[in-house]
Amino acid sequence: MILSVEGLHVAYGRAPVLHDVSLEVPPGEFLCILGRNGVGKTTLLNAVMGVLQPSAGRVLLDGDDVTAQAPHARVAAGMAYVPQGRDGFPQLTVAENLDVVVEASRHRDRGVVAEVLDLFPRLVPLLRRRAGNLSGGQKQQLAMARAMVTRPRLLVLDEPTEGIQPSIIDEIEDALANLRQVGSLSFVLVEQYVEFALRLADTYAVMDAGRVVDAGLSSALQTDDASRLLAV
Amino acid sequence: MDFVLPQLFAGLGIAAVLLLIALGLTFTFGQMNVINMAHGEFIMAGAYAPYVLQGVLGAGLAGLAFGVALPVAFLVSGLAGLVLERTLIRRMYGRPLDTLLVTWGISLVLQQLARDLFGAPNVQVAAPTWLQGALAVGPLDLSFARLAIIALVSAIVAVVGVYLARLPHGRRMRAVMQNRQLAGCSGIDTDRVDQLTFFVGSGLAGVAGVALTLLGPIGPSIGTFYIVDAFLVVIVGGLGQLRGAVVAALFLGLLNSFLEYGSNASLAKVLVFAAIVVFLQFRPQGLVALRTRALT
Repeated sequence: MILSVEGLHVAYGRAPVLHDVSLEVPPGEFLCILGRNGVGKTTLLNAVMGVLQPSAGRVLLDGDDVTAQAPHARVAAGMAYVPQGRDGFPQLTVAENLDVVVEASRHRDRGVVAEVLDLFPRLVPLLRRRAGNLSGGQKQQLAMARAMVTRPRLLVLDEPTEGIQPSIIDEIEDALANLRQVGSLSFVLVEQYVEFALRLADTYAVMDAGRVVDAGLSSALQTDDASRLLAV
Repeated sequence: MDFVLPQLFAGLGIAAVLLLIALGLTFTFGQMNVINMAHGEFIMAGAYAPYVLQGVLGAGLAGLAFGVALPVAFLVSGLAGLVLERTLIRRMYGRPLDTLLVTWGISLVLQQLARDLFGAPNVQVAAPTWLQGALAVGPLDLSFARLAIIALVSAIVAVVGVYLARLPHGRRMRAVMQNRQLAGCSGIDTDRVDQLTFFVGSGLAGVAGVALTLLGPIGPSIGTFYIVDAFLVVIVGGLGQLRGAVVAALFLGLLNSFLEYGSNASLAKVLVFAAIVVFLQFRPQGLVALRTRALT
């Protein structure tokens, strides 16, 4: 398994948010996590990345226990995160946003920037602009590019379609589909846009009240069923 | 109008020292949200460096001792800052008020330590012979000491500017300052960046201390004299902003200098504070602020 989450419990102070969450992502596969607002999806991703420390349970990357590692160590080990909220490094230019990540990465190969810009060609004319002055869709593409320049093995995305116009969502979907084709990258995607997520994912998990309540192959899940599971 | 140029020159000297002190503060405050009251004692530690070195090397080598004191002061104060960060401040990230109280306590301890080591009275450091005297420009006497301070600070600001804008470490520092969590999740070791910032910022305070020995006697409590003014530079300039700090230091240094001429030191302070209070009503975020398009 590229990613294994085993019996994860996370609490904010005394308020428990995640209860005994377990997930697995085989190499090259795409897992989407569905669920309404406030069921613990972002908390789960933050715990997977090391932003939050779980009170119990383990996170394994390719069999190695990374539960005690800081976020930057997990990135060095091959994880990359596209968090929710797309602030980026607002006063750095788009080019600097990518450079600063490449310089901190393990490979330090500047050639990766050109490769990643091929995936997100809309960023090319914006390289000298400050990230804080981009539109929402541009910021989202920059966030994905910033994650990709680390040459990750596992890409973790938190609601990349939130508040983005449909044509840009299509481009994001194309970029993700292209990355999937390569086959060496695995994905964990948190989404509320069910159709988008199910078109990309191999497997799905549905969360409710801090637990995984349903999981299986995306092909077996009808959009109608999913919508029922997510109904408010 | 005879007073304008001399006051301008004196103001520039004050501004240069304030700026050097404020540089470290603005980055530790802006990047780590730490209010480091012990920063003033890093100035003091740096100021005693030429004093101790002159004692060791003897009066004949006062000039050499002064030159050696600059890197020594940088290292001593920088390491002191690093130790403070590793042992105490690291445990208080996210709690700026706690850092204020704890570092204030540290500041008192360090002052007492200096009194025990060097005695309570102020001491005079001998300026190197090549910094004594003044450059006569028309009717104006520009003291070499102040000229040297202005030149030193200009050089340091230029180096810091290039470091932040062009070098990978500086870029990393700006990234951590602007979005700490994302920096960590992008593979940047934020702990290491914090340590380096603290080391360099404290070290610059030490260099400022060496510069202060050219302006007058120094003593165990010299830091408390400058720390408040340096924080004013930080707040007026905007957190973590090099350009803001430069403009704010110039503004406050010159304002102070001219108001002192027109009145006296105490009244000048009151007027400067009043000006800052009014300024902050209109720009609470300081001269230069993180301005970005609202999240869409």
